[in-house]
Amino acid sequence: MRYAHIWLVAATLLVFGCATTGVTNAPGRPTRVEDPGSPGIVQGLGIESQDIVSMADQMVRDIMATPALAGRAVPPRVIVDGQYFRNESSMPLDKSLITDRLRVALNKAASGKMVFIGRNYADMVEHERELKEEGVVSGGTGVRADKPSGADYRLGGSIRSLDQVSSRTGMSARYFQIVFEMVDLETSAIVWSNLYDVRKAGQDDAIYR
Amino acid sequence: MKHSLVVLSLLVLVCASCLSVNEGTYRAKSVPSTRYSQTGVYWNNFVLTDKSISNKIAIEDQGSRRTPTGTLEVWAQVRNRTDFPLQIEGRVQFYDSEQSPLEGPTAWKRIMLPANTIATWKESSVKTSEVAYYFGEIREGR
Repeated sequence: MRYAHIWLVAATLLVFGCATTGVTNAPGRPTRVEDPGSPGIVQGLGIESQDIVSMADQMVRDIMATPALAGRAVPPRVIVDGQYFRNESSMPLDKSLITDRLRVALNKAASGKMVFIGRNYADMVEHERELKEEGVVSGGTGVRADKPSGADYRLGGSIRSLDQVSSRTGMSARYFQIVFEMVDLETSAIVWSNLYDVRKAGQDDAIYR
Repeated sequence: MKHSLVVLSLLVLVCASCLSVNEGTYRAKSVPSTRYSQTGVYWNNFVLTDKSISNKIAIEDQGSRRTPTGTLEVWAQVRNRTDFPLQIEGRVQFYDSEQSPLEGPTAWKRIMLPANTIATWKESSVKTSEVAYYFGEIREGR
């Protein structure tokens, strides 16, 4: 009789212990922080963070070694944005990821050897200048400029790709060629150019958004 | 008597466990290169950080030169000792004359090495005259 009670309690505990609440309670794969400069756990055939980090770094270092841009007595005014940097590849890509990184890293590295013009902020500047001219706001502490600065050079370039799929194995490959050029805004001369290329192949591709 | 011994042992164990204190910070230490010859920073040199390629790759030559703008360009001639293609990635960190880092390490830059070939990995600093030393690292491309 005494053992019967124990068995009953144990069986009850076992039954209720096995009952599930209907909630998926299994621990999932935890989110992890990855190095943007190295390939991550999700890899495909597209341009990925390690490519962007690497290409921007290479371009910055090459520009800083170019006398026409980084060795002038009077620092040239440069526009680095995505306006004339076209994505003509088969992959959707926010090209500003590349041009913004390039501009920020270059501005930091140049430390006065080049002056960067924020032409994409022209509306903002114009609005503030109008407010100052109308007397709505006071002048700034800096020297009053007659007009916003013009630029000497502007970044141009393109992202192009070549896709291949093997009908026999299902393997895919994609070659990217990313061209960077600095164009003289008076003469159209290309004073600096460089390219970054990479080819990736695999059975599975990632979805890029 | 037996119970007293058990209680005493338990008390000793509890007290001993209370004595180990994990509070506070810990001082970082470097591993002496006299004990492990592979540790340490080898100024103006490239090292292989990946044991898996230490027998596959040879660094035949290395050096540096000033670019026309004064930045320091460093290079390493790397030979693929195997009869299959390899990929390697390299990065370099630049230091001033007091061996203080001037800029973060460069991004990993990949080069391809077909079987039994030599290729040159090179990179340049963004700082100019203040760069006095460099330290390069090479690993297998992933």
